Amino acid sequence: MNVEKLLVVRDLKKHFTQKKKFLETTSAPVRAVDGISFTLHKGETLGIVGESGCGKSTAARTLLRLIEPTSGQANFCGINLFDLKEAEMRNLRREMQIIFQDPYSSVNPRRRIGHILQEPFEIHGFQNKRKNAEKATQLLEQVGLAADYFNRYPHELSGGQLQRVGIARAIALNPKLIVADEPVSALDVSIQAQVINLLLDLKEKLDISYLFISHDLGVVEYFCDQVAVMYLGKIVEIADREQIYNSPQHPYTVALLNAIPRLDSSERSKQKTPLHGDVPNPANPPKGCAFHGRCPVKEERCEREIPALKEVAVGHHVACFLKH
Amino acid sequence: MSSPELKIQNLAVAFSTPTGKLVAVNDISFHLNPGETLALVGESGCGKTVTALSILRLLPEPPAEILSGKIIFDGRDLLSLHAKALQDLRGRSISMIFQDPMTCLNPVLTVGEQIAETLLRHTTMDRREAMQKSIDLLSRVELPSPQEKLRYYPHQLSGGMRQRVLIAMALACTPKVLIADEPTTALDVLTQAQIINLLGNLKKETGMSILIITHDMGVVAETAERVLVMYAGEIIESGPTDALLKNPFHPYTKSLIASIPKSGAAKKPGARLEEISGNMPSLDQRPSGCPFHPRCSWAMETCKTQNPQLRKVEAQRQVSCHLELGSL
Repeated sequence: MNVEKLLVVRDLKKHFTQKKKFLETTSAPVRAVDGISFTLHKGETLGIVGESGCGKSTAARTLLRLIEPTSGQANFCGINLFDLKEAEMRNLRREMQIIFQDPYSSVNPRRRIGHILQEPFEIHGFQNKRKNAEKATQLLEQVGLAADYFNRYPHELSGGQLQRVGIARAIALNPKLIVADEPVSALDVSIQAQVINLLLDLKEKLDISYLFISHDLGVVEYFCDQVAVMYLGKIVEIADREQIYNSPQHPYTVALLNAIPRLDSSERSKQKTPLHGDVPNPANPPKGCAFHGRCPVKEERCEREIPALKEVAVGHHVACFLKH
Repeated sequence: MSSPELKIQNLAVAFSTPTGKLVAVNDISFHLNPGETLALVGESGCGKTVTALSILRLLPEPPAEILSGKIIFDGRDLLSLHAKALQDLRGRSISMIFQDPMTCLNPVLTVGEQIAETLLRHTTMDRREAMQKSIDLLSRVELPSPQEKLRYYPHQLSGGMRQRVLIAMALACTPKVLIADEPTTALDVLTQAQIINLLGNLKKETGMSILIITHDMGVVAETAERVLVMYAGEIIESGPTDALLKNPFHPYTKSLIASIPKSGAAKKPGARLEEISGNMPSLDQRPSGCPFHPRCSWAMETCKTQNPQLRKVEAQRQVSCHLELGSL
């Protein structure tokens, strides 16, 4: 493929240190993100999927340096993000924006929508007030909101409408990359469809690439060209969309796919019982493969050794001994 | 067939606001059969939670006001009961679980104390027996190492585990009816599948009836035998789950089903989800005629002026729409 690489991440790690307990000499760090690598091409969407606590949001936030990474490299359009000074990074955020999960807590409740949408321009040095207001009105139109929302306050909007404001704010400065951190998880299913369609439209019109974070493989299928499945800080499977959905390899990916509610009763009867248990504590990960405690097909070897992420088909990487 | 466990007749609920009385639930009637799982589906603001809360009289009155109706349970009208009688009923005969397991538990009490509280209030057990019973309950909701979890505080548990604790509390006195208000909305897909599975198993074991409230047709398909679809405070369609999902009569039901991402449908690049444009009207901006007509692609002239009545169209199915059946 001869598409320009937009973001290349290599061996990204984020370990949170814990407070030492009484009489302890060392304390194990929480390995929230433990060495992940991926490449996002221009105009493409990469989905990062996993349960709460798998480190997907932490990974996304370290890329924007909202959290400082422990180690690793992230190359965005030829610039190493982790070498930048704070002021340089702030400038670069013009090119990379984020949409958060909860639209209510990501806007200032005391500012009018119009003001919220002018802020990106003010921060990035556009001082002409009238022009900024004009641009903000255009943004409202772009995300499908009527112009009279300009003077309203966030509490007057529904969740779906407010998420549109969040999207408008993210596209304000024509970014190349938008990190969408569970943008539809807090919305009703019917509104979720509206927001996903809007994001797809904007992608085509404005040539934006997305890093789309979600726990729902059903939503990701509509949205992503490439899918990475994370478990306990590591990528356990990464491949093109077709490969993930047509021939999922890792037992965890299979479990996630089985968990999507199905409308069709014939499809439903095929389903097995859902996976038991929760994601283990990343401060105290199990020995061997992190998934072995919940895995329906584990072997004795999985309890001792950690499987590496290996290519099993072209562009299809899996970290599971049974598939190597 | 035996008589219904719970029967709601012509229930109407309003809220007083500075701008006047706003009707949130508008004259709805339905029943819940023994051992049945009934789903109440609709978008945010359609009145489904208000309906559920009024069954247990949990709405603050005022500003809420029950304008009319009857809620018949066990031969009594719950709307005419005194506060004391209602307290005896809540958690014993009818239990409820809520959407957000984070805010429903008391953060300064252990899990065991919170489950035991229900038992101490409604049974003659002493503290030790109540704690013993709590361990049983926790193992029934498939929480690993229940004895140890009894001493945990809510913040030490994950979202899925907290929802299990809430279910254990709700089941403590083996209620006849469980009302589950969006029990899986705040959870991951995998945890959601676990909780749905658990509720199904518990229903088989205890024979209780479940009223499940959700906005997700996928959850309906996985849990319920019968469905009520609500829009703007009214029931607009009802019927057995499989028939209703396969062949919806109301345009709103059809759109709700279509808005779910379908697997394999996105193979074509640029594929879009089917969406319902616009939002549910707010209570003070109710359109004339059929409340759905501004968002409906099939709307006719009559729809703008006349609100259709809920009519029986098949043995177990009802719909309120001016369109002829089968024209969708």
